[in-house]
Amino acid sequence: MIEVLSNGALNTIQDLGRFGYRKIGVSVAGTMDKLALSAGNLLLGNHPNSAGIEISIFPFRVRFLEDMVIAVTGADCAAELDGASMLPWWSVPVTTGQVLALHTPIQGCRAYLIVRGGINVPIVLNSRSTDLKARFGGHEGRSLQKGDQLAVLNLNARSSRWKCGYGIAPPHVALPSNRSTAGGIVAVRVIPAAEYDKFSTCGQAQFWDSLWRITPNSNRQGYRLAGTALPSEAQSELLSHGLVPGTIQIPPSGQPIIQMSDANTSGGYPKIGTVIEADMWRLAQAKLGESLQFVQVTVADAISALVAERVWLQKIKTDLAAVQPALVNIGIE
Amino acid sequence: MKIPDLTTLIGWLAEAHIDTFELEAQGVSLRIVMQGQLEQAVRRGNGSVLLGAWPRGRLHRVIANAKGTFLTAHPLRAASLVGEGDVVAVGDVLALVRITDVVYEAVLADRDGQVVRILAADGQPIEKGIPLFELNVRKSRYLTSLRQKKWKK
Repeated sequence: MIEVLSNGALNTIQDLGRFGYRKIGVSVAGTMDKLALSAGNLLLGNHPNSAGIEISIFPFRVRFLEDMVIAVTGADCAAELDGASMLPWWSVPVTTGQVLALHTPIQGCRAYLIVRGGINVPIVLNSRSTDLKARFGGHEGRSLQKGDQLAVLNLNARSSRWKCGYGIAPPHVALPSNRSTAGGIVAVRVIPAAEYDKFSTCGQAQFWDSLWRITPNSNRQGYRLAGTALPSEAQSELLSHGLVPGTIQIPPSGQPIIQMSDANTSGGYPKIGTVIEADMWRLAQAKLGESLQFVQVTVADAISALVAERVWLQKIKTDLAAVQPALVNIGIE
Repeated sequence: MKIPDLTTLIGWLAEAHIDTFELEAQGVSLRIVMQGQLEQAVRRGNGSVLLGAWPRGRLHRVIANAKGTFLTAHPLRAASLVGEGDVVAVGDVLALVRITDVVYEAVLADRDGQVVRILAADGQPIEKGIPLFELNVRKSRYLTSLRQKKWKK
C-alpha cells in the first residue's frame, strides 16, 4: 500500500487511457504525458499501460507502507526519498515507512510516480484512468486526497524481483526537438486538419508564424491559447463531429483551443490542425504562460516521429531486459 | 603560527575549494597544497614542503561496475553530482555510467568518505573494473564536522 500525504486537486491515477468508448461519449482520459508513463513502466518491468500517479500539484508526498520498487519520470521535480535526493527518470527500491517528496518542477510540469506491478484500482471500461469530468475510474473517480491508501498489483509475486537502480535517458535527450525550445517557447509539430483550407492564406500564415501563449484557463481537458486572434472569415460552426486529443480548434474568438487527454468526444468548431501524437508529451509538459510555436509537418513526418518514439521505448525494454538476472527476464505483461 | 591555526586554515581552504595556498609573514614561509593536488606537486619535484589537507587517511577507490560512458552530471541537470572535496556517505550517487544509448547506471559510494580525486573525465568511455573515484575514508573529527555542516546547509 501507498499512503498519500498531500491533497492535490489534479493528482490522479492514470494509465494510457480508455479506448473504444468515445462513441458513447466517454473521453479517453489517461496520462497527459504518455511517454513518461510508458517509459517509467518499462523501467520497472511493467506493461507500459500499468497505472501510475500523475502529479501536477506540488509539493506531493507519499509514504510507502510496504517494500516496493518505484520510478519517478516526467517533470524533473527534485524528488527526495527520506530527504535524500533522487535522480529524475530513475528507479529505486523503497522500504516500509519511507517518504517520497516531489517538489515544484525545475523542468516540465507533470511528474509520474510509478510502482513495480502498477497501482491497483478497479478497472472501469477497460481502464484504470480517472475520468474527472464523469467522476469514475482511478481512485473513487476523483483526485487523490491526504489519507488515501493505494494498493499495488503483484507486489508479492515472484516476478516482483526486479533489478532496479537504473535510469533512462529522458526524451528531451533521446528525442530532441529540431526547434530550440529556449526562452519558454515550446515547438510542437502539427499536421493541417479538415477545415485548414477554409482559413485564408493570411490566417494560415498567422497560425504558423505567431507564438501562442498557454493561458491559465487550461487543464487536462484542453489548452486555451492566447495570441493575435485569427481572422474569422472561415469560422462558421459546423455540425458536431468527433474529436481526438491534439485537435486544434478555432472558436469564433479566433484564439485556438487544443484538446488534451480529457478531450470532449465531439465538438463543432473548425479544426485548423492536429498536434502529432509524438509531440503530445511536449505539450503535456509545457507550463502555463509558456508559448507554443506550431511547426507544419506532413503525415509521413508524424508517422516517422512516432516510429522514433516507439523505437526509443523498445530500446529501453530490450536494454533493461539484458541487465536483468535470467530469473526475471520475463516481465509481468 | 601554531598547529591549531594550521588546522583551522586548512578547514577554510577545503570549504572554499582552494587547492594551493602560500603565505610569507613574520619570518614564516608556508605553502599548503591540498590532497587533490598532492601527487602532482610531488611529481613536479618543486621541493615545497607538502602538507595534506586533512589527516592522510586510507584511500579507497570506487570501482566501475559496468562498461559505458562516464558522466559526472545527469543530462537534465547542469551541476555535477559530486566534486573533489565533497563529503559523501554510503549509497550516495557519485556519477553515472551510460551503459547503453538509453540506460544509465549510478556509481554509488561504497564507503563514507571525502572525494579526493575523480579519476575519469566526463564523457570518457570506461571499462568495468577501472577505478573512478578516490575517497579518503579515514574517520576523523574533521570529516564528521564537515559532514554535519553539509547537512545543516
